Amino acid sequence: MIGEAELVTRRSAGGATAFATLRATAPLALRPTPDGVYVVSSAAAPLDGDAITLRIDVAPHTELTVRTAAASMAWPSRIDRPSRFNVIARIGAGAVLRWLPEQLVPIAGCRHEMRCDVDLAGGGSVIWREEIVLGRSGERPGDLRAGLDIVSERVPLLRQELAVGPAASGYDGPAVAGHSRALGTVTVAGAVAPAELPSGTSAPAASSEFALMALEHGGWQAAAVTDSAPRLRKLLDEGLHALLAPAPVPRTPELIADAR
Amino acid sequence: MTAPLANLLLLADGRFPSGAHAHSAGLEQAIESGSVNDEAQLRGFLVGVLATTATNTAYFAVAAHHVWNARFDADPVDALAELDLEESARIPSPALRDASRAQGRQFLRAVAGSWPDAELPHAGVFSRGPYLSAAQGVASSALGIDSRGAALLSVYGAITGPATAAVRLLGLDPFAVNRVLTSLWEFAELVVANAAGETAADSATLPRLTAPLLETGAEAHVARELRMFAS
Repeated sequence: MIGEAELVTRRSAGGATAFATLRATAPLALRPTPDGVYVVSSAAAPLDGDAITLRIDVAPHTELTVRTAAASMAWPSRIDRPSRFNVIARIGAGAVLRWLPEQLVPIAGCRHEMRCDVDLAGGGSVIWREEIVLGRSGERPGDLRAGLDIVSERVPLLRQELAVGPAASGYDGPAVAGHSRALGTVTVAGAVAPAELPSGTSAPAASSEFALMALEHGGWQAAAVTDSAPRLRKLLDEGLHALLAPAPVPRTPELIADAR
Repeated sequence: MTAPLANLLLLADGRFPSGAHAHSAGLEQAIESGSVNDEAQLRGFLVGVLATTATNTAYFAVAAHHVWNARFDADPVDALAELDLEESARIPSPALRDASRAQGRQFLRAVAGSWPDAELPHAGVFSRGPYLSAAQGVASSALGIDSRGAALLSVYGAITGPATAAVRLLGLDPFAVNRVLTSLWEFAELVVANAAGETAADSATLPRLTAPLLETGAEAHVARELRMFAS
């Protein structure tokens, strides 16, 4: 199945964020709520070579939060081709994208590739969370490759790809994921990213389980490698809070769904 | 430059004065956190390194080698700066970037001191110090070593460094540790061959495989007061 979704914001006359486009084909659906736009995937997707592309265009001086209602399952594959989920996001000047989905779970036997390309204009901001739970309870994960590229005005800020599962040599060894069950990152880049850690900040201390890292060319990444999804969320939330406090966290705007 | 094979042996030698012995490349922290205690766990560590960061750096060493080989046809300064940007984007951890630049700087210094006639980039090209992969790539090119040799140098260092550190830190049997290394050589050769075959003109597409525990571990490691190794 080939699914496509497109999410384009525009600045309404009053300055609020509205939607210029809000469109999706099966197996995806987009549900705007006051809390952000929820990406909803039908029962068993991605599956067997499904290729899904989500395009996001956050117009200058608009704000968008994207969420999912529940963890995404990458299901076991019965064919010799990976399922793919591509996200292509463009963030305009003065615009903010918060990508805050729930966890991705590569179920034993899956072959899934997730690729996210974020293009950030000058003065734009991105908060991008990625959480992976290594299989369902008591199982080892299937094959997953999850990539994230963030480029700001042609300068690459981040290019990384995590590979786990039986095809990824050494993923369960002490250099990569070890015995952890849940790992993830939250990356903050662009105008909302502080140049220095705010004073009085209270991020968890660096340990093998957590680090808060300044990227070379602007932006921050909090990374956690831990034993459960709730613990992962807690660590990443604390990292995000340390980066964005004491400056007030931007309030999620009311989103007006007037797309056709 | 004559004797490329002998040059490669000298560069890869643990006694080459490039300061590599001061770095465990994450192994000291893996021991500290209790995840490496024996040869089997060391092997698991090294397999993960080979599949991720050592793959990335082998490709970057080859890319730098290509740039320096072509220095008379195309300005190498911009191309090396672009590789530096691209490699930076693949290393979120400041501690890991610092460790690589410190080793790269010392590596080029040792090459310049050992081969006074070698044609190397002048110091201003790498304002923050070259990443180790860039230093290995340009030095290999300058010393007549081919791109496969550059990849081999990079991969060899990436796994022998932590292996040597394991002998020192855990008191493992050196023969047993060398058996771990020889058992990995088939995989390492594959990484070398893939990297050496890379001809991509666009450095944005080079591998970016991440090893999360090396990242978090490196940050935890520099925060410690008592440590034997710099990384």
